Amino acid sequence: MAGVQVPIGIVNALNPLSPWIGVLVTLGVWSFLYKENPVFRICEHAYVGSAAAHTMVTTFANNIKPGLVVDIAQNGEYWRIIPILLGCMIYFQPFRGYTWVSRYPMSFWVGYNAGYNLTLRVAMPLLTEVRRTMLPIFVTNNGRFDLATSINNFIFTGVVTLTLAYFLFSMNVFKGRAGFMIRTARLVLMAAFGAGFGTGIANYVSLLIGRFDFIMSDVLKLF
Amino acid sequence: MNLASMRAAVAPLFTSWLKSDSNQISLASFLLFGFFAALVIYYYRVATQSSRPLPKLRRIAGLDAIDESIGRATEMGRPVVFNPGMSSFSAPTYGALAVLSYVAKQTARYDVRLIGCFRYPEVLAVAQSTIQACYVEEGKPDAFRTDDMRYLSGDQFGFASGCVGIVQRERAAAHHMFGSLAAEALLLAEAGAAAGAIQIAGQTNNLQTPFLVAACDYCLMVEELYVASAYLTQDRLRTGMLAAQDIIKVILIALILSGTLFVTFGSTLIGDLLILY
Repeated sequence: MAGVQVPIGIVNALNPLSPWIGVLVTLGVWSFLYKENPVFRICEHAYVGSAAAHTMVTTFANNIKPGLVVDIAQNGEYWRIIPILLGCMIYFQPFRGYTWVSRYPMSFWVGYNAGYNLTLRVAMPLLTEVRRTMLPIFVTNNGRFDLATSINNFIFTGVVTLTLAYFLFSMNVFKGRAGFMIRTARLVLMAAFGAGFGTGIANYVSLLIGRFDFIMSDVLKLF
Repeated sequence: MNLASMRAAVAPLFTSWLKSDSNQISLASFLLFGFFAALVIYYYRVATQSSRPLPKLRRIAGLDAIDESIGRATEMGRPVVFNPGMSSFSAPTYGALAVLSYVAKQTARYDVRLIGCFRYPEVLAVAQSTIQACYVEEGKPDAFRTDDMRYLSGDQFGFASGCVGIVQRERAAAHHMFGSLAAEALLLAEAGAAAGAIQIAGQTNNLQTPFLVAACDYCLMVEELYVASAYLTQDRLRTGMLAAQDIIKVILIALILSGTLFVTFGSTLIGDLLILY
């Protein structure tokens, strides 16, 4: 947390307690696996509250304070007053009768994001991806037919085109005999999601192991 | 005229402008982008003329289930919890807000309580205005409760734990998760399942879609989220935009297939044209 100074005495006093707080909060959150209960509720509210406080302090220390003190006061970048004013206008939202004031910065924000995202840069990666999908279906390696790569390329091109076809919403291309396309595309998507699910679960299990390791080894010193 | 001479002919015209601040934009992408824009404008014009027919959209089960979930909430007298995702203003968030406006209209119409969970204050402000407008449109401005639009935390898992708690404590009958979700997707979906809520998710993160497919009753995959507003409102303009996008996709499919055919027979012509200056 750059720019935020915490008194060293407080840090020293809390240091021995912090692993135990970590253990208690971990167990408190896990108690949700049984059902929603007061212990989980305490942990949840403590987490949400401390996260909000952390965001507020870091935003003030890293953005607002340097913006006011360094950029405007010291460097004389007075144009930065405009976004500050726009930001302040948002605070009119709760005041009935003045809500309209808050709509100006919001519309500016929404418009800016829409414009920023709608640029020519969107098209180029798309074409690069299209180009990379163009793979030969009959591949030869040192003059010999490479069956494995050929099948791989065929599956790759087929899956990409079928998936693209699946996301056609206004064309009735999947009726009648062509209906197998949507079924195949759905199967292909589900197979891909299945593989993704397995990988994701492996990641979650590694997080769980990390947490067990923290409790058993770091705090309880059992291993 | 071969490819090299084509490049040589157009290079002076475009390199100085298109590659002025980066070398990421090619002539082909510029032309294609222009063509796509023209196509969208054409369909916009078609959509504004009510006499001209537009294609019908195919059925999307996840979007049909939104009405079912709100109906269930009405019968049970329990709230609908809506989560517009983890990102600030981005394409998935705009998609989520479009769904939210439909959900808000339905909840206002059937007097169902709608609770919103937000990670970003700017999204909260826009969503609040959107929902308020929907309640006014349905003739029930007083039914809108500002207290139910809740900013939780800017921290990813702080936000997730807040959502989990709300879904459980409020005993949500329906849990809608749209927009951009990340590692917290499974946490949210599990909490909704534990609360017995009917869950509908729609998001664009391929890494998280498998978890939502597994844990939710209905899941909109990737682009289905962007179709939601056109599908739910059956608005001609939005349907027209979708028809234009579908033509673009068909062009891309044709490019891929023809390019594959060319490459298989030893020619990289189509691939090269795509990166032509």
